[in-house]
Amino acid sequence: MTPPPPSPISVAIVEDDPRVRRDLCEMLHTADDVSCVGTFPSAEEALEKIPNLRPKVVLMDIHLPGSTGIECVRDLSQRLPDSLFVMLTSSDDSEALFASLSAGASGYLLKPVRTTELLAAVRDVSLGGSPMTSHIARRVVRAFGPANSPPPPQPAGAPPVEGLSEREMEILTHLSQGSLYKEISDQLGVSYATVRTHIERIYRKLHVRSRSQAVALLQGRPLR
Amino acid sequence: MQAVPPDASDQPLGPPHDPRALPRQESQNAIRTPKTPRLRRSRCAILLPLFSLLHHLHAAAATPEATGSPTRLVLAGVRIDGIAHPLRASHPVRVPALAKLTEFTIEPHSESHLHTRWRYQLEGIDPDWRDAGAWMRITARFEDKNGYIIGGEEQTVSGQSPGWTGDLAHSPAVQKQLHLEVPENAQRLIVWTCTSGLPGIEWRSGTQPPLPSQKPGRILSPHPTVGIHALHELSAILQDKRPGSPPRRHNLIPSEGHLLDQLEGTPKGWARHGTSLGFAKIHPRSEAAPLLVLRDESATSFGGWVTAPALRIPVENSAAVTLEWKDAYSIGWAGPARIAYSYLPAGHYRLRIQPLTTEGFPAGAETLVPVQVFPPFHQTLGFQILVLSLGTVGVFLITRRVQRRKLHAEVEAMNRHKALLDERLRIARDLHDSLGSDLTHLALLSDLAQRQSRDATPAPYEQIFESAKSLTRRVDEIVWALNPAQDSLPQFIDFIANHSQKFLNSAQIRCRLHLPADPPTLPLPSPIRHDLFLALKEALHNIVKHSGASEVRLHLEVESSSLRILLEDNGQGIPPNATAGNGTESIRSRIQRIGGTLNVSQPPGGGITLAFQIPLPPAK
Repeated sequence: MTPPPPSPISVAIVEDDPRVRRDLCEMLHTADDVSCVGTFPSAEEALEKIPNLRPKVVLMDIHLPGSTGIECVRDLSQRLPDSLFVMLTSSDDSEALFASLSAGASGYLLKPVRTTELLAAVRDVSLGGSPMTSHIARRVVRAFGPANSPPPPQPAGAPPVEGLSEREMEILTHLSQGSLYKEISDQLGVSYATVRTHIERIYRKLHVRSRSQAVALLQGRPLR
Repeated sequence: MQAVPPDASDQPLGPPHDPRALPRQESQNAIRTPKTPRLRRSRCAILLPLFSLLHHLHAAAATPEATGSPTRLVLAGVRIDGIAHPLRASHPVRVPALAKLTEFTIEPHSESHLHTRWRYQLEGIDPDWRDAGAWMRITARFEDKNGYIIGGEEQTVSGQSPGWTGDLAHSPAVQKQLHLEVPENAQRLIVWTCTSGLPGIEWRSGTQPPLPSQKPGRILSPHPTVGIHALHELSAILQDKRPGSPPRRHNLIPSEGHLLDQLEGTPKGWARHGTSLGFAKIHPRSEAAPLLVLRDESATSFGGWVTAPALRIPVENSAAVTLEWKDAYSIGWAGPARIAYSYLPAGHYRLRIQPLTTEGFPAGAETLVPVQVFPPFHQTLGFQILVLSLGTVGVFLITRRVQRRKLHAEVEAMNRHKALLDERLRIARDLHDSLGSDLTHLALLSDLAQRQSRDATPAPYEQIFESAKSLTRRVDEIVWALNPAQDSLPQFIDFIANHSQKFLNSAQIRCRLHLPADPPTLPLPSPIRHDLFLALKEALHNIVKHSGASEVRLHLEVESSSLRILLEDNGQGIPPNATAGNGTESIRSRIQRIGGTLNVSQPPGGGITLAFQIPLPPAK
């Protein structure tokens, strides 16, 4: 467990159900190092008010009335490059989660979540740790294609998109087969922190990639 | 009686000289046209070669009269089903389809040809020449003591006698007989011959222009019969009333008389009658009784021989009389006539009209009129093609309609199916959305409560949380199984891998995945996904509950048309006391429902291996 930072981690919540919104806020308040700075029932309201709050972490429900949480993340991540986004969802839909991660999210939590899990995730992400599950890893492998394959054609004038390195692809593949971070670090002979750094870099490349392609991966596809 | 029956002649004109063998000057389309100039016959011989040339040059446009051959008879009118049909020179008579009655009115070209005997043939219909139906007759009558006619019979004669040569003495004569019962009170038998078989025909010109001397409706030709009749050896055989008496024969043409060596002579006991007494002649014979001859040359007169009172045979004692005679004859028609045909079949015909001498020999150019009878619409090639085309089109349309209906029904069924699926998905989503928030709230609340209670035994809160969580997952799984957007193989593989990993990890069992890197995007319909997922879920559940395994490997392979799944655990295997198939029966039945197979084995290293083989529907 990391020692608490001098100032609490500011967290904003975007969640349409008022009870769940209140529950989450209350859960955050059980820790001294985390503070809930605002709750918002819709993407529209979040877009309007969150930029002024500049929270460190935004807990974003995917399924919102009106604009989805994914769209909201896409907009906010552009305007708040220092903020981190964690998706909250009750559907374990890899496509929606992958779309969220591509749009700029750094992780996700499956509802319902325990207080300990919630706080751990907030702390983890604020320290730069972006957890990647096996099934998201599989989706990321699919998105980047097999290692050493040339990057997909890009629109003219777009910045060149960096592909995944061999080591990154190796870690992703292990992850996708069900290995834990610890097992990967043992098998590859690298430190746990190095695995995390690689994962973080993979996320960054994914964000850059999705922005440069400027495509909504879920365009036209219904969310659950 | 307005129309002359065309088939009144029951005796065909047996031609000793085949008229068709004679050279003919054919006159085409002799339809009466008032302005047509006529040339005299005498010029014909001189002008014929020239006109023949002109005829060829002008072909059908030239009217026959222009060639110099006088046409004695013309087609003056045609009536079809009682309605006058327009006639056009140089054009065939056009008879519409299915006409019941086609009547041709044939007239002398002018009054000077009124007495010209003629015959006709509709080539293609009539096998031989025909005449318009004239006849002569021989009559026997009984009179009583007061001179009243009280009975009798007659015999008509028409056409031409077999072997007729035109020469009265040398033409073969036909033996004939007329048998008469003598009526009561009959005193005498009278016999006569007459050139008019008909009492007089009222002939109406109809709508055609009448001859110069005629007016429509006027009696034109009471006695249209013309020709020759020669009577030989007329005798009467009387059968006496008393039984056993031999019959007595009376020769009725005696060898004595007045001027029997001349045509105008009169045999004893005979007298002339009629409107033209000159028609009755004799044919003198040096060593036999003369022949009684009738020679009628007029369409408007008649004549005949009749027994004078001196020759009338007493019959008061006779029961029966048989008249016997021989005759030779050639009898025809002169003057206008209407000939009729019923139901002419479709085709091209030619009406031939030929003028004849009184003796019945060809006497000039034939009049030839083409006649075309149109086929009824259903016999025309065009109609048959039309029917065939319509039939083809009809079959095509019906087939297309049937196919469309079928397609429509299929589309309907698909739409209904899709609507059903959509509805199921909607219900599941509603359930998910409405339950989701409540369940999350419930779970979060239980977690918060657990923290605040500081209870030493937080198990009930933990159970509430876990129940709410598992309910959330289960509803999510239902939505996943029903969502048609998730019906491809990669999504399925992703889902079950994710589920296996989460489920096993929560039970502290390591989950190793061996998944295809880039599975083909094959369709995997909802029923297959549903049953396969539930089967795998149950298998995983069994592992967690019974196997005691620490690690599970999930292999997924996509073969050409099937999905192969291996689920291996490192547990204790099947316990020895387990009943056969225990725990795998419901899994197997689910797999069989989607056409797959399940093979359960225990590898030497321990544990249980479940091998699933699922057929995949072909890619669309």
